Amino acid sequence: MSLDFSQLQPSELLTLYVDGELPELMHPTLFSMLASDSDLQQEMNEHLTMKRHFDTTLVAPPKILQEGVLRRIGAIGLGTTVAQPTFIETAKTSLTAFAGIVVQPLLYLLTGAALTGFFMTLNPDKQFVNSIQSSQSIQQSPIELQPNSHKQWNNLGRNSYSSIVLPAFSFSNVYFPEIHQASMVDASVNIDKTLALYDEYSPENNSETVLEDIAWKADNTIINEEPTSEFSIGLRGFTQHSYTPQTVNPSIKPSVNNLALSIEYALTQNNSIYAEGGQEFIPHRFSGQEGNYFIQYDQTYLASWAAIGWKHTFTTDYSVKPIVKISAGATETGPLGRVSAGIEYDLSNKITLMTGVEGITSLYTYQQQWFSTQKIGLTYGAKIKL
Amino acid sequence: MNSGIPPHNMDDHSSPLEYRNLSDIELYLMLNGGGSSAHYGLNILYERYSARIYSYCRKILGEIQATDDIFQETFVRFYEMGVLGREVQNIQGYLLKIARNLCLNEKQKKYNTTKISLENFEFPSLDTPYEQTELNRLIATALEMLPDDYKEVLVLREMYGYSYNEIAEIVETTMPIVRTRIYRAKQKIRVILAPFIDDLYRS
Repeated sequence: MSLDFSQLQPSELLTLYVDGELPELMHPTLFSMLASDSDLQQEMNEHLTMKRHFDTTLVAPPKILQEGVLRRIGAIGLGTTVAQPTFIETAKTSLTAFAGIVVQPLLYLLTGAALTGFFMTLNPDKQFVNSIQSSQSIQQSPIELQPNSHKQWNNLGRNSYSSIVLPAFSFSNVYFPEIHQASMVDASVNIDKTLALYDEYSPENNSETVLEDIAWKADNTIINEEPTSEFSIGLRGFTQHSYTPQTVNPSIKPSVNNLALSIEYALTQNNSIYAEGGQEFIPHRFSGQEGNYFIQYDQTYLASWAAIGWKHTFTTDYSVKPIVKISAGATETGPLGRVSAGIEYDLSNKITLMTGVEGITSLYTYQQQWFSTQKIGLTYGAKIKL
Repeated sequence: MNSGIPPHNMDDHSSPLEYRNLSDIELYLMLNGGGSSAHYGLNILYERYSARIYSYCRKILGEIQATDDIFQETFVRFYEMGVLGREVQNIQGYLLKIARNLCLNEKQKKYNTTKISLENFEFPSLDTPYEQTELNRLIATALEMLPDDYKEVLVLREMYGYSYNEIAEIVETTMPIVRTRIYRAKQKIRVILAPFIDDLYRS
């Protein structure tokens, strides 16, 4: 709505002029009024005097007020004063902030591990194994007798080997204990008065490569600039080498394996939490005492797993961004931890590709002893922002 | 919130000196999410605008103690809004708007107990020769006697040089109302100062 200046009184026009709000078009009109009106001239003088003597001095606030503000927002602690931050202070503050970012996700992870992994292993022997009689898929490996020289393998001391001599016995007298087998696995059972050399077995295939075709192709994606939510779903595969040898073939070979499906929620631009579930083979090896015998079990476990985790994306000016991920969860047999580092590439506003290196640790128990399997390998996949 | 501003965080260990070259909006965006970079961002914005906001509060409130409290509260609320990612285009205007609202609330609280009127105000004697500083003081005194809604628009106009439209945006009203208030404010000051200004010109 435009202002009709012709309707204003001369005094109002004068005020607008002094404040620089009167259009130049109206200046001649005002000037002609001023020329003929001495009261208006007087008012003009008063306006200019007022403007000239209006106190425009800026008063700097006391320094203590700045400290008060910064203290209230948590920038400085009690009893400290504000100083120009040095590089070291800047770095220290950054680390503190980063620690704050890390602690919260770790609490999530610990909670997840407590609720899933340890819950599932409260009664490990009963939950983990079934009686061998109930399964037809057992494949027994050759038993090797090495009465004089032997090594004992114990996953609790993975890198240590010790010689143990046990009472001799004949094969015919082998006490065949109630051998256990996890569900959905094949197992080999090696029984000796001592343990067989585990590394004399020929691992048939320690590396697994699946996911021939992750069905994410750029041609099929929708590229647009629509705003996205904080949620995204992802699918990834992995190719991993197991440091616990896979000495037996799994009895089940699923057509889809070594895959993980996830849903991710972006807390901030750099930090996300996610829940992930997947399936993969995890070779198990554990040993223990059954009666008078040491027994070593090998099994290849088709693990369905679930985990929750935290992802940190490092800020760059490019579409490629380094990421680190850490998650904790469980399989049916025990807790599972996964750590990965890699890069993400924003193919579009909605599609992000990723690749990296991932390591996992799977824990399982036997006779109240903990054993673990470590795997490491490549991971690759994609996610779609919802 | 993506404004096209390159990201600035403390992860890259940038020197705080580099932040001083950032624009108001860039610094304000650093507040989003909090953390150390937000602290630095606020610190620099504080150094840029603290004197203006403090002076405004002093002009509106008068009392130093209340001014100090309102001034600090202004920056804390500004920081909180920034952390929450509220979109802002004019940082100084936004700060003034927060300060104004807080000042009005404070004035409202005090209005019930303190009220200055023209009748009980003691003007300096006409016999006193007026120096320039005295005229400044007189105008400041006359300003104190204005109603709050007149005073604030006049302060924004004369002290900060805001246009009528910008003032209308800050005080959340229309431009014609601002024009009217400024005009009336100046007329009231003229009336109050008339005897003194006459004397000044005579001398």
